[in-house]
Amino acid sequence: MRIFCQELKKIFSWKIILAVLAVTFFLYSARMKGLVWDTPSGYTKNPEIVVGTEMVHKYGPAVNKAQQLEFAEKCREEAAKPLNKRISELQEFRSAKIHSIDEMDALLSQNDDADMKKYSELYHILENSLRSSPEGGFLVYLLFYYNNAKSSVDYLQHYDEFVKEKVQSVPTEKAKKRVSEVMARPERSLLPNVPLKGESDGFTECLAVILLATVMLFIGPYLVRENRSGVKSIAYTCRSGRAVFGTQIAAAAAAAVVAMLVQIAVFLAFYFTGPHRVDLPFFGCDISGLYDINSDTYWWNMTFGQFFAWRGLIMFLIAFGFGLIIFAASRFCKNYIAMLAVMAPVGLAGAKLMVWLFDRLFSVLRTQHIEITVCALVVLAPLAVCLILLHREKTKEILS
Amino acid sequence: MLTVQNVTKRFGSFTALEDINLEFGKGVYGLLAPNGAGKTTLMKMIVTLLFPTKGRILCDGKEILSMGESYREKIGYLPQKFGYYRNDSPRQYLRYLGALKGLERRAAEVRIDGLLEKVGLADVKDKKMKKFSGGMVQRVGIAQALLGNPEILVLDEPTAGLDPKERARFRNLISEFSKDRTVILSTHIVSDIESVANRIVMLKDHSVYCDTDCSSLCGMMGGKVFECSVPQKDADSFEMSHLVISRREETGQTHFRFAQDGEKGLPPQAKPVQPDLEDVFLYIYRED
Amino acid sequence: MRVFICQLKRIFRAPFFLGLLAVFLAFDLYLVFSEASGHKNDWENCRRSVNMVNSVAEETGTKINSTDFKKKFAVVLDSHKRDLKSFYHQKTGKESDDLSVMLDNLEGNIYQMTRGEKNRLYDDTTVLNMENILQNRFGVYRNTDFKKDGETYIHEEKLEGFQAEFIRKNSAALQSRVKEIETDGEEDELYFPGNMCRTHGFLYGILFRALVFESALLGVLIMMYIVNFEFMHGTQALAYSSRRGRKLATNQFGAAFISGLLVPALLMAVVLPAYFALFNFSNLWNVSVSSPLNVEMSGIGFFPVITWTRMTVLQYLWATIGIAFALQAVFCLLAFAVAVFFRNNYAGFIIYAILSMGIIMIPERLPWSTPLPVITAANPFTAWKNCGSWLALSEPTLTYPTYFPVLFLLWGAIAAVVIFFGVRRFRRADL
Repeated sequence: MRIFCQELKKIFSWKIILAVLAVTFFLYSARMKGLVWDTPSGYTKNPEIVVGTEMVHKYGPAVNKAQQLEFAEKCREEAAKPLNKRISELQEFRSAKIHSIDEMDALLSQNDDADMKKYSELYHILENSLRSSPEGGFLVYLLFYYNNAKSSVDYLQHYDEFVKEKVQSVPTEKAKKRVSEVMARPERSLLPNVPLKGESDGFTECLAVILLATVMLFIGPYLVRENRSGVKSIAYTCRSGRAVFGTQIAAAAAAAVVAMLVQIAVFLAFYFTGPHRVDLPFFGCDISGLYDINSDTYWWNMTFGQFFAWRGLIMFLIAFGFGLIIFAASRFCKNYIAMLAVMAPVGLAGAKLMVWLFDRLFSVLRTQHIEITVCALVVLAPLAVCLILLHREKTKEILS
Repeated sequence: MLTVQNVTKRFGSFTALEDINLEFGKGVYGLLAPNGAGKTTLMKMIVTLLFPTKGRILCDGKEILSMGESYREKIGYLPQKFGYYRNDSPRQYLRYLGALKGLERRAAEVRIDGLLEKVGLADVKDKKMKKFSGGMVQRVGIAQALLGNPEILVLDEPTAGLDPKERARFRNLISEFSKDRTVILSTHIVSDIESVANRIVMLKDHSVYCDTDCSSLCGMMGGKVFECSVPQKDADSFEMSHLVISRREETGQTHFRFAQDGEKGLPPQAKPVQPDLEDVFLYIYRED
Repeated sequence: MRVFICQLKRIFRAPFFLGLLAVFLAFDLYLVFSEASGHKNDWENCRRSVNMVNSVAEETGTKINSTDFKKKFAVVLDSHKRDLKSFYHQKTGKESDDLSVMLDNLEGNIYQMTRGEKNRLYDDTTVLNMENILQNRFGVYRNTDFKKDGETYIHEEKLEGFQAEFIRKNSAALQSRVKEIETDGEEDELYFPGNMCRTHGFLYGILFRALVFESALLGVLIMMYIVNFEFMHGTQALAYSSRRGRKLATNQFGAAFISGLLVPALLMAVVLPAYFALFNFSNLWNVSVSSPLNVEMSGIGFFPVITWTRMTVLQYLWATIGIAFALQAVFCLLAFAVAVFFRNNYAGFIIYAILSMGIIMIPERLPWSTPLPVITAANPFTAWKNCGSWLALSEPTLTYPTYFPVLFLLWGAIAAVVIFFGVRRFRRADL
């Protein structure tokens, strides 16, 4: 135990802790700056969130078709409010006698070339105006959001055709069966798209990168420092002998786990006290069968809360696995440059893998069980390599 | 009792040691041989860093490789190239090694303080080792070798980098330590072995040349070591034709100490002298 | 010279150099081949679209408003419409004249098609979409009023003084550039339609960004490796007490700098030919990059590529390559500056990474009431981040014609000052 604690002390050196803090700070700052959060038109005021919360309190986590239509319609009305306010301020719209987003949309349904041209011009003017406002990108997003909500109303009114299209759009028979099964439910989840697919994605991506960076920063230099210090020839002749390498593996794994748990705790603190606190009412809603046409269907029946936990666990396992890969690779690195040369592509590969995995996590558009398979591979393979290295260490000749 | 039984060590096609048979009981054993003779290889096999290609090493009749922890508990080792953590103080470094050696924490603290006092580093026990001189680092190395109070102490060139005062302190330390223990030390500083070693083991041509005490070894050279002075102009030609042990320039004369078998070709002014261990070393390894 | 060559050999023999170069080449080629294979989804294939547009250009020329183009394009369009009808009949057994109905049905059945059938659909879709895009191209520039947008921005951000003038000046320059595009014929030049082909976004926004990043990473590692080589191996006492002495650092810097510049050359020498072998640009090298067809989704909006002066595709490519090399030089100089102060390569690398993140973030945090956002945004890391918008319309702090000259002057000076103090420190340091 004492040796284990000594090894942990070596890993958690204050310089590296500072470096990890700096990297974490920058990553969070970059992501927080990029998202429009707690502003007057930010995440907490997203119509899906506002209306969705109201509906969850009124009806519970799932609603029938009529209630769903009510939800989509209310979302459209909520999105229209800030857009209409902006339209009323713009001279071009006043000159064109267009007073609301609905009136602007009506130009499209005329099928007249002149009207379509007018619509296009007005759309660009509105878009540019929204982009240059203090709320920035969020209001432009709202414009798309309004269109999405409107489409949802249309689709709900043609529900069966929509289901047929959706079933057709998935590649395999098994997936088609699952989509049909989910879409046939009498009640549909009130979970909005946004917590699953919207700004949350960026924030979650941020956590994935932070976990990877944390693990690599701590574990990367550990064995390189040991290799360069030359203490091995004394350490292996002590009572604990070559078993100390096993202790080092355990210490690296434990350090990775502890560091990641701390980072996850920080993330959860931001998540539940920051703007994302508004997602809490939806934690009991099923993740499949959202009202929006573009939503995914998922292989498993799970609530958003369970999905949230699974996402965290998968991130944790992948970061852990990549940490072990770095540990095993650094065993052979004689200097920090070689270790960095290994760490850079491995780190980028880890980040890419996470992005790919979370792009359609548990979705029917992907092979079932792929996530568990990837996690198992990423954790077990490097673990096996570490155990092989441990076994080899027992008979390795220490020449210098 | 440590027994090296028919040990051979090969690295690929190169044979480092061939059929070594030795026994180490209590006392100080000096391992004497030129560079590349296999001293470090033998020592590393004794401390289980290397494994014999053939043969075995026994400790009290049991093979050391199968004894595992119970054997390593008994050994203390100071390698030739000594590794340490630059940002650690000697006390931190010894604490870590104390843990590796399985010492109980409080006992280790007491022992560490005592050892640092003995090697003369008590004043700098909390200073970072990156600020130490080479000699100070070497003394930390000696301290760590003694940390576990080992029964078998293996020291590979322990006095490298130490000044005469520190070497004297080291010799006293070893003498004191070796009362009921086995100490195996290798060095090129022959005077260190001369004064402390009970037995000298010499290696030549990858095998044991002799394993005897110092006085017997020196006795082998009886009547073969001489001293004389020659004019400086003849000094170079004299050196070419004799096995010179040492040369000293004086006014107009060069004073030589040399070894020679028999009296043929002996300069008339040469006087026989009492041989020492260095004379023996140079004579035995004259072809190398 | 011998010492210099020794340093070079040291770099080229280092396992990390060859290993990382191989990994980066493999990754970049993977990017290129995966973009070419159209793996992202089954409803589009950028490579087929690019090659289709290129072959249309071969038949029709690139001047959209010419009579010749209109006639020849009509022939091509008609041929593809007939092909689509025939394909639709073949797959569904039905006849239709409604293109949207045919496309919807065929795209809905895409999972059941063979590779050849999908390619046929992509080719037809590309040409049919081109018709709409060519007709609607005027909407890209004619509805923009950068001067007005600039004034709105000034009003909303409550800018005054230097900042207001800066935005005003650049908005006016952009607007006059847009007018130039409308009048000098660039608006009527054929290009790869952005949302179908994504050439600009992929080539400059993804591939070049990856190339610059990889070059920078390897360049930084090389610089740190060589500068601290003697310290890493404990031979500093021998090396710096020799006749060459501390001047050895000059040879080390030279060798590392040259190698650092060689890295992007090696990467580009393999990756770019591979890209252009798969994506055929042969008939479109001399068209303007600011064509209204070069509009892609960026974030949540469409952004056209508006370069400050007329630049053909080939000119823009060479300019991007030149800027990439210049940025690589800056990255290497900064790495040298860091390596001189930090002997521990791990610490040096982490400091470099943290500094680069900080330098990217600083401009976004500074208030627009000072000129600092503009000055601090002219840095190589932000430039890398905005790869894809070089020499063209971008964010307010980056959109001005002299961005790159300011960047290279400023950062060249910073690197020179830091290096000067670092080298002076090294000359006097106890080793």
